[in-house]
Amino acid sequence: MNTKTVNPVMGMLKNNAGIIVVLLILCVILSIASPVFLTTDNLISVLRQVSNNVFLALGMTLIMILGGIDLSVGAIVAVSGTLTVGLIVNNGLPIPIAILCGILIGVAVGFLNGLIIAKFKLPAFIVTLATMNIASGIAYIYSGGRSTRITDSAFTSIGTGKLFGFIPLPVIYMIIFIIIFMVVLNKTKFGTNIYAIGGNREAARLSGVPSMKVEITVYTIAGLLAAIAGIVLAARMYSGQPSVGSGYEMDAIAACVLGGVSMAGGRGRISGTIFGVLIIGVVSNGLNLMGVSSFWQLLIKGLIILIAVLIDAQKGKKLPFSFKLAK
Amino acid sequence: MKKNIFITLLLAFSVFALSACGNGNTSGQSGNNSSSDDGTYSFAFLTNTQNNTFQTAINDKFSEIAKEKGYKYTMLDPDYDLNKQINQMSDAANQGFDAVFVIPVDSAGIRQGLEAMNDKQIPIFNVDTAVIEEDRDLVQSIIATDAFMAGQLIGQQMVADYPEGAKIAILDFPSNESCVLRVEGFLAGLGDSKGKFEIVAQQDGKASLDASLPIAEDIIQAHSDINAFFAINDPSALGVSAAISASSKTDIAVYSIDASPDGKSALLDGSFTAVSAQVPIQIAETAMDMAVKFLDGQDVEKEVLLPSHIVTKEMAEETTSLWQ
Repeated sequence: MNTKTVNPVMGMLKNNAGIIVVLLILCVILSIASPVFLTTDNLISVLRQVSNNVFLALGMTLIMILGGIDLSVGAIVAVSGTLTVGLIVNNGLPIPIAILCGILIGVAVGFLNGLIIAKFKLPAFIVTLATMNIASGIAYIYSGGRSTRITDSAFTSIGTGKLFGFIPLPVIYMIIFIIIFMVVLNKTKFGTNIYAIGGNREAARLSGVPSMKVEITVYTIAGLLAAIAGIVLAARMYSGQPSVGSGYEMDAIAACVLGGVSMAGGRGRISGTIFGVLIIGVVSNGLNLMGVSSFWQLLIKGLIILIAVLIDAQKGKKLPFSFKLAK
Repeated sequence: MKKNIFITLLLAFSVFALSACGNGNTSGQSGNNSSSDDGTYSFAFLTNTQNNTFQTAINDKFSEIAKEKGYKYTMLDPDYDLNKQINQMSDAANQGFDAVFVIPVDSAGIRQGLEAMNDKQIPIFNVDTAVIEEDRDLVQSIIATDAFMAGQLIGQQMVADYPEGAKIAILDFPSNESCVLRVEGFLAGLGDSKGKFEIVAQQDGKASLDASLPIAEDIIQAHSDINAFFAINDPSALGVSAAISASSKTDIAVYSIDASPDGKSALLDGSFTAVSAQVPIQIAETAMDMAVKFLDGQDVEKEVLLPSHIVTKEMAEETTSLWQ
């Protein structure tokens, strides 16, 4: 009778059982290996470190559920941060306007991705590979390859400020975005349409899902999030750096896959992705605390990703949403 | 619709092809004219990247001198791609420059390109990062900052600041020879006081701000009683100082090498405790000077190591937006 009304928290735990087990095992091992790991200070530091990947991974989750991929997000991080800081420091623009410009460039690249992919039916991999180079090129051309330092606390506090004196602002943004994206993906028509297109593009189109509009919107949102990530990161680094962000897209993709988002589309959850991000963040924090060399860290991270995906695959394939062809 | 796209693409390609031809012709010409008979020399700078103000400062100085003296000058940027650099080297060899300046993407990896230059008898002036021992007979001269000395000065400065010793962490960059020498110099600079300093962590900061930031945060978490960081370059040290301000621990000192414009402003606002200099502008001046001397038939030294120095706040104030 009331099997339908599952407690959402229990549901989330059940859906992500595999990855939660992996995360817990890691936390137990790391807290034994390093007495510092479980301190509040360190856990807050981990949350602040993962916030950047969360921004990118949220957008990537929507895109991957659509059956696409976005390689340009790392480059958008670079171009938005570089442009925002450059406009403030070199051109003397007011901070809010500079931030708006930084966000606009991310939105523009995202929109371009979506437009080309949806309208010309080109592979997302190739299109975003191209826009990755374009965005990165713009960052280098604009900055001449130079980083720009900014010490104006009105700007840097965006990334370094703290709520109640101890919760870093990036963590607050992260939580807000997670909630928004959970609601959008699970409770709105737009979210349902994303699953529908990813599950079966042709069927979705036939049943009247405005696939082009949805696709363009999703890529634009990913661009927006990447731009926000770039600006927050620039504020944390006290500088706009054209060379940041390379490889960030891979961390975001890894987090999604760890969290059970299907590379083929149609399947995935925000909660899963967040656990994926946490695994990546916790591993690198823990290994740093233990003083493990970065060469070993690469190898260990690779192994953990493999093991986690293998464990997750044992759950069997469950579809979170079964799309029925509308009559 | 399809036809339109096709035509647009065709147009785009033909424009590219035309402009490529244009480039080919001009560079071909400069190759032919480059013999010293017409009084002007032609130089190429084969850098490892232009993503760093250090390399852009060298490039700017080269092109400034070239403009002043009427030399022809080109810069080729492989963006840290070794294969691309080797291709650029063989292309440059075919263009017949009078001399080239090379920063290897990988010290051990560019022998093929060096040989291509030698086949065409183009002298190579190896700047900043030296090629490996076995390949040194292929280059005319090596001009670099004395990286060991830069590290040593910072080590000595740290001993002066902490006569009783301290708990320190090092952010290194093992894949770059010059950065390895900086760490060796630093440890040598600690000298007899070495025993008083406890190195609680040594990690690869990848010589970059965004890679060093989380690593420094984690080191601060793991060792709350840490006194100081030594980072092998300014971007890495700026990552450390961002981590320190995020941690609300204000008494951790940051020691760096570079004295880039960003590093100088960090020194002035107190984020850095001490920084020793790399000297890209002097490298460019010296390298160009040596290349011209060599082409004029004079003897030049095989290796020139330009001395580093500790950059004081006064020096930083005078040259705040410049390298040295």
